[in-house]
Amino acid sequence: MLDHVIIGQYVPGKSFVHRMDPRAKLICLMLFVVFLFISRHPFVLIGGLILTTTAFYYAKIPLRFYIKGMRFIVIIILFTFILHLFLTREGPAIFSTPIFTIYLGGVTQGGFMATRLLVLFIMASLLTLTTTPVALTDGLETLMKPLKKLGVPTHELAFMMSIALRFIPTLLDETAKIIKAQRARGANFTQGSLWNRLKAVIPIFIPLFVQSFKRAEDLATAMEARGYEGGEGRTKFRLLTWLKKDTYAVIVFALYALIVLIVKIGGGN
Amino acid sequence: MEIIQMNNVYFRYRPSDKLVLKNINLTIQSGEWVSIVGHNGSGKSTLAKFMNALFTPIEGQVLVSGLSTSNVNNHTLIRRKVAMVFQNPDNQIVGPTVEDDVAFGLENCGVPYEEMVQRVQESINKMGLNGLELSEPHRLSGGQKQRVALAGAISMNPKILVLDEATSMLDPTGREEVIRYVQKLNRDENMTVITITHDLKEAVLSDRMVVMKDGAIIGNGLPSALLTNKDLLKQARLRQPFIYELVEALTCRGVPISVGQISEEELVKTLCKLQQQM
Ligand SMILES: Nc1ncnc2c1ncn2[C@@H]1O[C@H](COP(=O)(O)OP(=O)(O)O)[C@@H](O)[C@H]1O
Ligand SMILES: [Mg+2]
Repeated sequence: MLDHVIIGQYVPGKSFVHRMDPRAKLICLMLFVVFLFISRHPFVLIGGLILTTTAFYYAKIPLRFYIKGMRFIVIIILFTFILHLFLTREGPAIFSTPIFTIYLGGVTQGGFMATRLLVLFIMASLLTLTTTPVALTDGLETLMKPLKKLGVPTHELAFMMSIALRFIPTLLDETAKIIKAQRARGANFTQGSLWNRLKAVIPIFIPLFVQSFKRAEDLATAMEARGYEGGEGRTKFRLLTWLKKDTYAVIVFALYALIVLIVKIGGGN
Repeated sequence: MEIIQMNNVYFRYRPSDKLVLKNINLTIQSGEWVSIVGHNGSGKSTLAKFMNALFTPIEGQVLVSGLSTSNVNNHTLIRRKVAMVFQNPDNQIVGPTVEDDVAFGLENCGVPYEEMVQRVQESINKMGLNGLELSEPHRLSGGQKQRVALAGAISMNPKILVLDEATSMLDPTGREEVIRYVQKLNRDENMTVITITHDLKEAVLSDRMVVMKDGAIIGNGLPSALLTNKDLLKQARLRQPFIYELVEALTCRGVPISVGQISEEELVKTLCKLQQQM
């Protein structure tokens, strides 16, 4: 469980998508999400499907990893499908009972929405499956840089995120330790009424909180001792390298965006 | 050449608190290994934080390489000369991987990329962490974590290394591992080392020992001299290391061993020799 939280869903690999610059991946995903949802034209969905299968192929990540991360999402997708199935009253009826009738429009609408969501989630998991959270943070930081002019503290935000990533495993370890310590004193987290179980959690969180403040203080001292003075004048050890293939990938997604726009303007819905 | 000079330093955390440091006078020579010992709350950590301007005295003066810590403009420079390693390895590693953490200090002072990569690798090699460059800190042993912190510290090419109980949370193997590397830095690179500890076994290894009690220095001299001074140790509420107790007990019984600077191995050797002679 611990590993899962720390590295997110990252699956190490050397595929084309793994080696892409996180900035390129983020840009592609953003273009994809925005333009997939801009139009309801079947072409748009077909284009999205093609892009997703291509990306899936190039990421070389076994299907089971997607499925593992998507159990919850499958429920959402099913729910969307069923909702559309029962609530859409278009086209000829194809199945009717005294209580409800299912129309053809419902099936196509539901199928359309479900596919769209599925494609979206696959694409998003592709990003987290092939990119470490650290690389993602780096990518986000550089992409957010223009916002700095508007007064957004981009360095601080990214730094906070990387510190959080660094400390999540430490805090989880500590939580496990505290739970054990409280168990040894007779605390019971698995039995009793809900209220009692909730109360049992308090003695876990209080020490965790106190300890976290201590940690934060120590960390601040250590950072100061190591000459941290904010983002000004800092150099970076982790460099992002933008290669030709990153440009190509972005061009492909930009073309998709362009096609969607043309379809949208030319074809109505 | 004196590299740290503390003259009549007084300090309290808040104006209403009692004094935490009282009239501290301490001079540390370049290349020396000084250990500071004392009971919990005697002010060792507070004292350490004066050495790289994390705190400044309310009265008196601290000079690091001749620079006064009371002048805020000196702080950046002083912190580059004095590297610190703290007690809890988990609370001082900032980077998501070993190499990222070692690079942290260098990033902060804007070292160019190529030089940074080179210095990070050098420090990692020096601390024997090769092969762990990409490991995540929480997967390392305590001793390894502290060596990462050490690598981060020495990547800045500091003149002075201050270790505030850096070994107290480690198991014996980890302790020995860290101390061995520190000893190497002191001997081979002539780095000034200040170790704060309440493990007197560690203090035995240093050139000079400073004993603190309730914010004042009550002893300052050769470890072998101070560790045989029972009054001083009692006053400082410190326990004589086992090896000294043993040597003393043996001399009481007429075994001819001197209580000079003696290590465990040396003692074993001497005793074996004596055994053969008998
Ligand atoms: N942040 C702080 N605020 C107020 N008092 C402190 C703080 N840190 C330490 N002290 C007090 O200063 C004294 C010396 O502490 P410290 O230097 O940590 O001792 P040592 O490291 O020798 O155990 C103790 O009495 C402690 O309670
Ligand atoms: Mg202390």
